[in-house]
This record gives sequence, structure tokens and C-alpha cells, in this order.
Amino acid sequence: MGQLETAPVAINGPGPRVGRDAIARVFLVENHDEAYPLWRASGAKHKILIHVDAHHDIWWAKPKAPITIANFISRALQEEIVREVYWVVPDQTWKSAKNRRHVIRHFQKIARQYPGRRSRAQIEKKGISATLLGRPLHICALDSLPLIEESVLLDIDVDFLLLPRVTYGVNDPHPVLPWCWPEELLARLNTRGVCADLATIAYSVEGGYTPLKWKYLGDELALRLGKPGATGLNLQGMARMREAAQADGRGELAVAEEKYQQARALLPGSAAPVWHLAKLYSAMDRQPEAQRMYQQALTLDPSYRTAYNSTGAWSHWNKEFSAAEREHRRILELDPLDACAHLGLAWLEMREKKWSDAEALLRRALELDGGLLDAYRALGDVLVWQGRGEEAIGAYEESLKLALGGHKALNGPIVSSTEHAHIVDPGHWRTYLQLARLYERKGAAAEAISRYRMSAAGGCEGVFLRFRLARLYLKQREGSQAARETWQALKLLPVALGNGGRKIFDPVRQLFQHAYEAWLSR
Amino acid sequence: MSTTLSRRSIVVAAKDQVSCDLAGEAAILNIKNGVYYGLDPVGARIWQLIQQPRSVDEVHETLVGEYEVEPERCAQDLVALLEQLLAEGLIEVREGAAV
Repeated sequence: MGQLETAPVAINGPGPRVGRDAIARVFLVENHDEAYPLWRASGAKHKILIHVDAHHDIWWAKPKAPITIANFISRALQEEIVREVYWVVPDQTWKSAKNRRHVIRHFQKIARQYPGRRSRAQIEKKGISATLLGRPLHICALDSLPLIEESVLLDIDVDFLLLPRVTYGVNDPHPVLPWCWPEELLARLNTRGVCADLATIAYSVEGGYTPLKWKYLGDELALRLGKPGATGLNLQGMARMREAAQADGRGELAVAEEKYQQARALLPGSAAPVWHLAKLYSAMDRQPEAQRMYQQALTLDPSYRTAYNSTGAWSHWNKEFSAAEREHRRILELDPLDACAHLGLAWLEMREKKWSDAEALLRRALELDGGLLDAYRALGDVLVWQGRGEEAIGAYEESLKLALGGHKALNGPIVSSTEHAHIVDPGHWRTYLQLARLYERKGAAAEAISRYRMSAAGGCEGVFLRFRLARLYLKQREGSQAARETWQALKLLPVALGNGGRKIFDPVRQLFQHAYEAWLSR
Repeated sequence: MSTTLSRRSIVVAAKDQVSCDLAGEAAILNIKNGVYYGLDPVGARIWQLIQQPRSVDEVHETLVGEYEVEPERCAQDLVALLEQLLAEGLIEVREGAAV
């Protein structure tokens, strides 16, 4: 006689138990801030949020500030969608005093940003508890989650699986393999008795938090949350993907190839197996097959054509220029039409002051993707260096027009909401400054004035800018405006001098801060 | 200052903004609330015209002279844009003299 299986059912429970019961509402989003409108639309109110992420995403959001991937939980707290937050961090965050220091620094910085009286925080070896806006915030590991006897909002960032610990002020470490696989994460949440009727999962590829190769782990999480215990072809495919990645990690490329091919057969609609095969064939010097697989991946899922298809841009921003070049060239071998790789190589040529090579690469990048505002801006810089001011003006203006049209700079903040227009372009107002200088150089005072004023209004305020404006107004014989600008410049002078003073004082302050944190995290 | 628009209304760009031409288009930054706007080439031309106080009729006549557009359609689109600019605090409106 067969053994009677007792299927655990959530009778009188607070809701579907993660890893055991099916969660009806599971949402996959690219950027994490897209979770907030989903919570709001679901009618959630006064919920407990379990935020499983290597990043807190809870910086203070001023009432009218744009909602970004870094602050969307703050807005959910302000709107009382959420009444209590558990930020579940990767295990190694608590492993040593040195690791703990990073999360403590994050917490201290968060606490300083929030308005109102600060409560006393409990900082312990396995967690931190405090309040923000009068609501509890707990930072802990998976195994320290208490039993919560109600249905929570479960919010998972795929990067949690990949980043073994929280970091502050240094780059995220990206090991070869995830430190935790989706199945294990959900099993551990199940052990803690977590119940949820709504789950959000963020891929977080944009911005480089989750390497593109691990994007499919988000799909696996969604599958397992929606159908726990299922053994369908999709999950079998995911299992082969995992085995392939592990074989690849051990350097067993032939085994990896076999497993990826099996995954490909089980997941015919997924770009992940063919994308991994492309990378594998590239490493095995089988370029024609690599290119064919790569193109298939792009056809199956156009979101794989992204600036974050490699670590090239990140390496560049981290000043690892050889690594950046290697990455860009590898991508171009797979896809000669990749605009961002052309842009990345152009940045490298600019560093070497090879202006005509850089210009050729930038023009090619713009042929391939006319919406790359970074390419227009870089082209402006290259043309300035070549003494072609008039053409540079055109390139800079195009970059501003693209930003106004909603295009994003590669290193800009990630804002998904289109509710309010936001300029997602950190170099925007500085570009007006560049334009003002170019117009000033060619004697077009009125044009220079308007661009200096735009730049100042956008935040590029400064003594020199105001003095330049005063000089231009004088040229225009507008004495009262010139006097006003001079007065503005003089008013800014103490601030400028103060900044100079801060440059001396800051290192001393930081030294004390480090000593204090070391003492706290003992 | 009036808050409604008629053909005789005098419109002028508000003081609390900065703007500039961007290769035929226009960018405007409202200094009061930090909101940033873009105008297409026709909008940029209207914006250029209302840097000095002008009646809606006067702007309309200029546009009809410069662009191939039905006068009625032009009037509708012009008033729609001016109303938007007014709602965003980017223009000031005064009632013009009665004819």
C-alpha cells in the first residue's frame, strides 16, 4: 500500500507559504523600482516587507523626488504601503567584523538621511534593528528571520543570489557561481515560515548589478514561487543550466556544452541557454558557432541586447581599462553591430587622445544606435579636442535633445517611472556649461548667457560661472544684470572657500568615523 | 494677471524660468519647481515669439504666415500649447485691449 502523502495546505494560515504553496501574484520586473507601483496597484496597506537583496534600496526619498531603484522602499514607507521592513542580506555580510562594517555604514547613512528623531539602533553580530519614520527596520540574514504570522510582501532581487555580502564604498564582488541558488533560497524562506500573497522579483541587469548571464535565475525564482514542487520541463531545463554553469566553473567545458545543449532543448523559448553557449563557444575559440548562438539569443529575447551584456562599461568606470577593452572586443566578435561596445572602445581611444579613431568609433556607434546620448556627448568632447567647435555644439545639443526625449545616460540613476519627466543624465547640466563656453569662444554672448544660466539653474553653480555671466552681461551692456551676477559670485565665494576647507577636514573626520565603526562592529 | 486665454490675451514668457534653443528645439527649466520641458521646432518658434508680450492673435498670424497650416487648426493647437504653458507656470497672461 502506498504511503499517504500529506500535502501541506495553508488552512487558516496567514496565506500561501513560500516554497510550499503556489503564490498567485508573482511579478518579474527589470528594475527594482518597478515593484513599488505593483505594490500600490495591489492595494497593499500596512504590510510587512521582506526585501531579499544585497542592496537596501531605502535611501530617503524626498516627497517630490523621483523614485529610483535606490529609494523606492522609502516611498512605500511614506505612503504606509509598508509598516515594517526586513532587509534580508547575503549570509557572509555577518561573517566577520570587517564584513559587518559595510552593512553598519549603510545603516548609519540611511538613518542620518531620514527626518525626525532618531531612535536608538540595536546593532548586534547577527542583525540591526532600528526605526525609520517610526516604523521598524530589521537587517538580518535569512536564518535570523523571525516567524511572521501574517502574509508579507516578498521582494527578491536576483543579485542577492550572486553577491555573497553587502558592500559599502567598494565594488560588489561577483564570484564565478551564485552563492545561493533559487531552490535553496526558497527552501530557506520556507523553513522560516514566510507566507506571501504577492511576490516581486527584480532582474537588475540594467546598472550591472546582476550579470546578464544570471538573469534567468529570476525566471527560475518566478517558476518555483508560482508552482512549488513542480517538475516540468522548464525546471528540468533550469537544473541543466545550473549543472552546466557548475561544470563551466570547474573548467569542464565539454560537459558544460552538453548540459547547455540539453537545457536548450528543454527551454526552447529561452535566450539563456543559447546565450551561455555563445559565451562558451567564444571561450573555446569556436567563433562561427558563438556568433550564431549569440544572434539566436538576441532574436529570442531582444532585452539581451543591452549595454550590460558585458562588464565592459563597469570596468571602464572602475578604471580597469584593459579588462574593459577585452570585454568590448569580445562582444564585437559575437555581435559586430553592438553600438555600446563601439562606444566603449571610443572611450578608450579618447583616453589615449587618439581623436580621429575615437571619432570614427563614435560615429559608427551612432549609426547603429542613434539614441546613445553618451556617444553624442563623447563626440562633442572629441570634436572640441580637434578644434571643431561648431560641430561639437551640434553633437552636444543632440545629446541634450535625447535626454529631453527620455533617453538615459549609461551611468545615470535608474528611474522606471514615467509618471513625471525626469532627466536621467548626470552630465546634462555640465553639457550646457560646455556649450556656453563654446558659444562664448565664438563671441555669441546671448547664446552663451542662456546656456550658462541653464547650467546654473540645473545645479552647476559656481563662482567662476557667475563671474563669466557678469562679464558677458557687461559685453552686452547690461550693467544691472552684470552687477547682479557679480553679487551672486561674491555670495558663493564663502561656500567655495568652505569646500576647500572641507577637503582638509574630511580625511580627519573619516579617520574618526572608521575608528568608531570598528568599535561598533567588534 | 489673467488665468484664462482668449484671442486678445497678451502672453509673455514668465520670469521664473530659463530657456535656450537646442538646434531648432527649445529647452525650458522652471526655476520655481525645477521641472524641465522640451518644445519641438514649432513650439520653440512660439516660445521665441512670446519672449516679448504679444497677443495670441499676433502669434497666430505669424505662425500662419510661416507654416503651411489651416488657420483654424493653427489656432486650436496654439491655444492648447499656451494653456499647457500657463498651467505649468511658464507664461503670464494679461487681458488685451477690447477691439
